[in-house]
Amino acid sequence: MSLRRLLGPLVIVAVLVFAGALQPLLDKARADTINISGGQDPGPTAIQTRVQTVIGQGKRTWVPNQQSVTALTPFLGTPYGGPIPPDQAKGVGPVDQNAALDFSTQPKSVPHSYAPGRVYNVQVLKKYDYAGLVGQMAYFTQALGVQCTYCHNVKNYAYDTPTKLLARNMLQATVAINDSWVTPDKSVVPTQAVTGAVGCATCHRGSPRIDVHFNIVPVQYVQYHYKTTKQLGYVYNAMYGVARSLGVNCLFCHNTADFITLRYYPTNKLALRMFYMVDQINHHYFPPSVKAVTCYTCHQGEKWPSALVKAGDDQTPVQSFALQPDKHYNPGDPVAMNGNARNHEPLNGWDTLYPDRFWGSPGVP
Amino acid sequence: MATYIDPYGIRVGGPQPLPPKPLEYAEPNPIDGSDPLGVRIGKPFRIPFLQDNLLIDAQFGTFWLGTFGVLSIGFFFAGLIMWAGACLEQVHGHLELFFQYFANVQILPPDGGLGYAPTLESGGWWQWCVGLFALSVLCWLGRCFEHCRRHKWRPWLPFGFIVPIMWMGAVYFFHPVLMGTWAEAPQLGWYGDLDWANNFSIRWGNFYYNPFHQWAIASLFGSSLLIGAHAGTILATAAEGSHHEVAEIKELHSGSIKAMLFWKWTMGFNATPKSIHVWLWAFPAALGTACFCGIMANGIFTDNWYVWGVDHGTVKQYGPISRDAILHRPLAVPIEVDQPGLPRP
Repeated sequence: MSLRRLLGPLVIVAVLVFAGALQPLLDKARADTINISGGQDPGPTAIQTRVQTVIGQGKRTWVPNQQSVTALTPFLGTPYGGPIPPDQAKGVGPVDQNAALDFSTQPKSVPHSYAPGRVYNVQVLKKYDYAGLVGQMAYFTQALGVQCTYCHNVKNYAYDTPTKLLARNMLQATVAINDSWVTPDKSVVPTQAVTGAVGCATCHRGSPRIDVHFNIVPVQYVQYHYKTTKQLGYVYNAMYGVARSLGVNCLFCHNTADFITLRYYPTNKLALRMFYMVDQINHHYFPPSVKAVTCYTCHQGEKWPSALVKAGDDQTPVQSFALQPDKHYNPGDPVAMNGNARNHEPLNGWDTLYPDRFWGSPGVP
Repeated sequence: MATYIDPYGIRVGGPQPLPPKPLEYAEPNPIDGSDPLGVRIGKPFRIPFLQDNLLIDAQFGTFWLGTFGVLSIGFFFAGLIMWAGACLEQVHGHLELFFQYFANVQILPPDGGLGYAPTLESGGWWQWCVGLFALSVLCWLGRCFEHCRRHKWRPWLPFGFIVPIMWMGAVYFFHPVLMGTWAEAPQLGWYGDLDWANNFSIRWGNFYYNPFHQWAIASLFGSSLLIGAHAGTILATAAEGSHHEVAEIKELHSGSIKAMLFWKWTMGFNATPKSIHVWLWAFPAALGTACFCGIMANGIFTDNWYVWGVDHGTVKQYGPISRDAILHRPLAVPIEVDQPGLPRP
């Protein structure tokens, strides 16, 4: 063992140590170019450059940091959205308190001199009196992580600012989601009652502006008769986004022996309803300035969003629908029911005729 | 005879010059310096430090050119330039982003049918890159043939190279042509290629149930096993000279004899120094052939390997199979969903 033989490994180790020592300097240089959205820190070290602080939650999710590339999809169909560019990061933003009030464009119910204690210009939250309204406002402050000055002109709280108009839109959307989608879904998921409802915090989680984590929605791929492998790649990316948004894998909804033909699984009805809901939200309730709402917006990586308003139990166990084929989530649907022996119609030739067969069904005679 | 000086001043007879030294294998012609093999470039240099520290011989050079070799290198660098251009276009020219997103950049094939893509962005980059790299590989195959011809060898090396070329040809060319669209071929890219493997398997109903895929897996495992066995055997008996395989093929010495006895006592039969290399050629050739058949069989045998497996008794049916999904188009008269256990219509 001569010293010359050690030279090779020593050189390699020296290079690694040098690079490791250089790393914090490289991070500092990169940190200056990272977009900061919502005023949050993007992340300390180079090892975590693919990790970004989720705004308002303090948790880390695996999202690549996009830097000076403002186009969000250089890689076609990939689900990662990334942070919002700084010119859009603050959103509609705090209201300019020094702006002159122009009452010619306001509704008639807005008073020229605001007197606290009375309710003016309320169109969605009509059922609240003044105290209740102020309570709702307090909830908005907490759920969105903003102060009154973000939406209101404090000289006249009834004055309609652009932010107030957007908030009104959001309130209408929330009410519509709860009435049209969340409540009726109870019939589809009988074993777990939907004990909560969607509120401001479900999506906003303490920030007025939310990052788009997966900029691909699956609704456009429902009934998509793809012809090529490349087209199926888009479907796969959408499904991957759904799976990551819910914090599950493919087996939660599918039987991976065959995605294509084994598609009549009990869970697909619920999944389809959710896809249509997301599509309705995106096109019907939100203006184009709002970036796309996806599964992640509400679910935030949980199968059961823990930020549901009045959630009864955030430990609610949500089991995989695909791995429990004997639970009939779609009663009366002859396709979704797999012909389980507990059903009233046992089918022949599958596992009732040859229950112990090793190599599979008898095959075509 | 006696030596004398002739009228021209030349000494005749006497001690004669020795016959010329026989040339080493493939040494240049001493008279005019021409190379019997063709042009070889590069003065060889040695790095003695690497002799025992790296798994290759310490001499680098010479490098044999050849018409096909020059063409191959030219096509390869042209393809490399196209590839670099396509990748830089994806990251908007920022080189640091190219390295950061190296695994994410991908070059997609064109949508639509066969034929030239209308623009670079819509698939032209892919066509250029794949075309140039394919030409480079084919020229390299020609170089292999040419090189073996010069050495007057049997062309088993290029024959072995043909197998993966056919496989890649099936993936990038024959299968897309039969399907009528370039979009069936893989995109170029680290994750992109892996995505294609995943999507291809999903689209064709789970490749695990493709019998050619199963054959290929068996061949792959067999190849790995044989390589490990042969390499281990030779290295283990190298002290007794079994690694001089060419000499051992002509006449067996103790190293090879002991290696063969080991296997005979282990499994009852053994290979010879030559035949083991025939095995080691045949298994990867079988692997490539299986892969070629497995890619070409898509669309010819079936549209969905899981359903094929159910129909042919390979896999158990787990739930109702919807065969209209396989056809990928809505039907005027919809097919009834096929319940498990019932025969196919």
